[in-house]
Amino acid sequence: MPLVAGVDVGNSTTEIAVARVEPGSEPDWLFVARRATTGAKGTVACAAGVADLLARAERRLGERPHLALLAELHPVEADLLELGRIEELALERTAIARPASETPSGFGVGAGRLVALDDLTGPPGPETVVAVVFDSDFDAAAKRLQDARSRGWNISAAIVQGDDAVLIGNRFDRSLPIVDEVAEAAELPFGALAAVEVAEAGASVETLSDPLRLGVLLGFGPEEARAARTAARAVADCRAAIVARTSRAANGVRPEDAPVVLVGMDGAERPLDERAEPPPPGAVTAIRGAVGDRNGLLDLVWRALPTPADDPTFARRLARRRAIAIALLASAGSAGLVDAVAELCDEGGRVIARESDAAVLGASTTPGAGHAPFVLDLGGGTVDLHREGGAVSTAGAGALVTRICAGLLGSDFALAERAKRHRSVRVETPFVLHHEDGSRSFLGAPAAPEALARLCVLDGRALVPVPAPIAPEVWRGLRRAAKRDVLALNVRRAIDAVGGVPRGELVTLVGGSAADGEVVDVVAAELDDFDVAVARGDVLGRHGPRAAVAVGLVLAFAGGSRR
Amino acid sequence: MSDPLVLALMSEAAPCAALAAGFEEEGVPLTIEIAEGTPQDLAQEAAKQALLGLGLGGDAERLVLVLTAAPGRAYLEGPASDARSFAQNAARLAARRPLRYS
Repeated sequence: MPLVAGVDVGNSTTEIAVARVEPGSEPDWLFVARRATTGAKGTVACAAGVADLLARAERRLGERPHLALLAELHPVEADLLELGRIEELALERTAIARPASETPSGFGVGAGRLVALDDLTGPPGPETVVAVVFDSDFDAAAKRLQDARSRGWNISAAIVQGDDAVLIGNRFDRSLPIVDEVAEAAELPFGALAAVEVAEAGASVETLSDPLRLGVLLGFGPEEARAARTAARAVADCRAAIVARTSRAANGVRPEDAPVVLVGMDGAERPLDERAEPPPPGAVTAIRGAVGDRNGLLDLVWRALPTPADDPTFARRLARRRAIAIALLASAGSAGLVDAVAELCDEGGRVIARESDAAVLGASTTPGAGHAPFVLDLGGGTVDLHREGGAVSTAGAGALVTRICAGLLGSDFALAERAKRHRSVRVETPFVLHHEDGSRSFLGAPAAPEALARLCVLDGRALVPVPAPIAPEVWRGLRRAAKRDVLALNVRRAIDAVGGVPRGELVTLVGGSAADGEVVDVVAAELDDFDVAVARGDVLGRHGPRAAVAVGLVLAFAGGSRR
Repeated sequence: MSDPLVLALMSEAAPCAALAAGFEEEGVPLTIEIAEGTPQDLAQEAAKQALLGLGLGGDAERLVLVLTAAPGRAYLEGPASDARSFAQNAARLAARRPLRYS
């Protein structure tokens, strides 16, 4: 009897199910495994991951699978686009606006011409100045500032490159607004007008975040109202900030009004409106602009980052970024991958079934499910609704949720993947953890110093710090919102596209994302109004919701549905 | 006189000025006293007296921070040449702010 391998190459995970099969009889299941997909889905690079899994099967079984069975593949790209950042880059033709300093000195607002402290040695000029300090010796810097002031320089504020604001302020002028840790101090537009503001501890800047006051302070004309608005927004909710005019003020270049353009089925172009809901699957066929140009799209989804109702400061920072996560589902051939996988087995490899048919067959091996009529495959790249006679694929699933998590946390993709799947804590002291439900627990040994006072992912016993300065309760809400916004949205879009689900029907969830209990919760909540039974698949009664397609491919082969 | 919030027991050759500057920049009060002993022993002794549950010890070579609740081993340590950044992290620990790593 031939030893066959069903191979499901997903956007995130590649799964393999190996069985000894006599066409027309029940397969003898011998091996199921998975690993991270190598390369973009459908590309030849994915063959390396398939080869690894086949080698693992050979080591386990003492025999290499003779035949590899694949499904049709449609790759998904997930990306995060920061529209606010595009505006800020455009703003830099008019002004530079920066939040600054964890430990500023003084308070209030100071404005004037930007002058390096080294240039305050001569006779005083007629104007108020903002001194830029490069000294590494805070004592010397304070003395030179004192000396300049005593000779008549009118110093209204200071910008310090190093982390010395408090030390300089304590020795020079405790009330003068001084911001520090301005690494790019040397690149400031010396001679231009600048303003520095430091709020009292626990408060935020009020003048630089007000476009009218900022405009008056730095002399923005009515034609520069947009620059004043963008600069003010860039520093809002910060304790300390700098805004400086740049010398390239009047080049007339404005940010693009439509960074991303969508092309519909009829060829009509329209700008992407990040506040609108994505169109139904198939309505957009191409995209142009800041995420690159793509044709042949089957679906496109975008979601704004969720905002926390219980952390207005963080919510404002997120809103300012205007970040949207975009997923593109493209029709693309995978013949190259099929050929590469075929070389890995004696009897080659072939596309045996549509992914949807395989998923239904695999999900139907769940004990008690019978013939699963509605299967929702919550994968890495797509949410697919499979039912007899058809399927709908929607762009955006686990990988898009991870992109959103990475955007919220300011982390890389790998850390966001862990943060998506595990609970979080804040390490309040070396011995006290603050959990997502507000409870506290105590550690027997102190937490690592790098975890202290940070939000950490609780991955088993490991505390993995993440960059975002938010409370565990806030992160829990954002994490669940990201899952709801992507997965529940696409479940709804897919169901709408097939005209709904009959009342009382069983909906079986499979795919890697369905292994996450929070995902099952948000999807079940989304389906409440359909009055259906939502169950998590348990493929072959022992693999949970995973490997449904890989198992289904073998079942399709065994059932004789060769193509 | 009340006990110090954070106490550093330092040998005479320790970089006390840089240590004080690090705490000053972070806005955390520090009391420095001159004493003799190994950095670990000095930090343990300082931790017994300081109200915020940590103590610092150091000499011309090494700086150590010990937690009162786990005095057996150094929680933070670094070379005396990095006294300023060591002190800023120690101050951040006392103030329950995230530490910095370059």
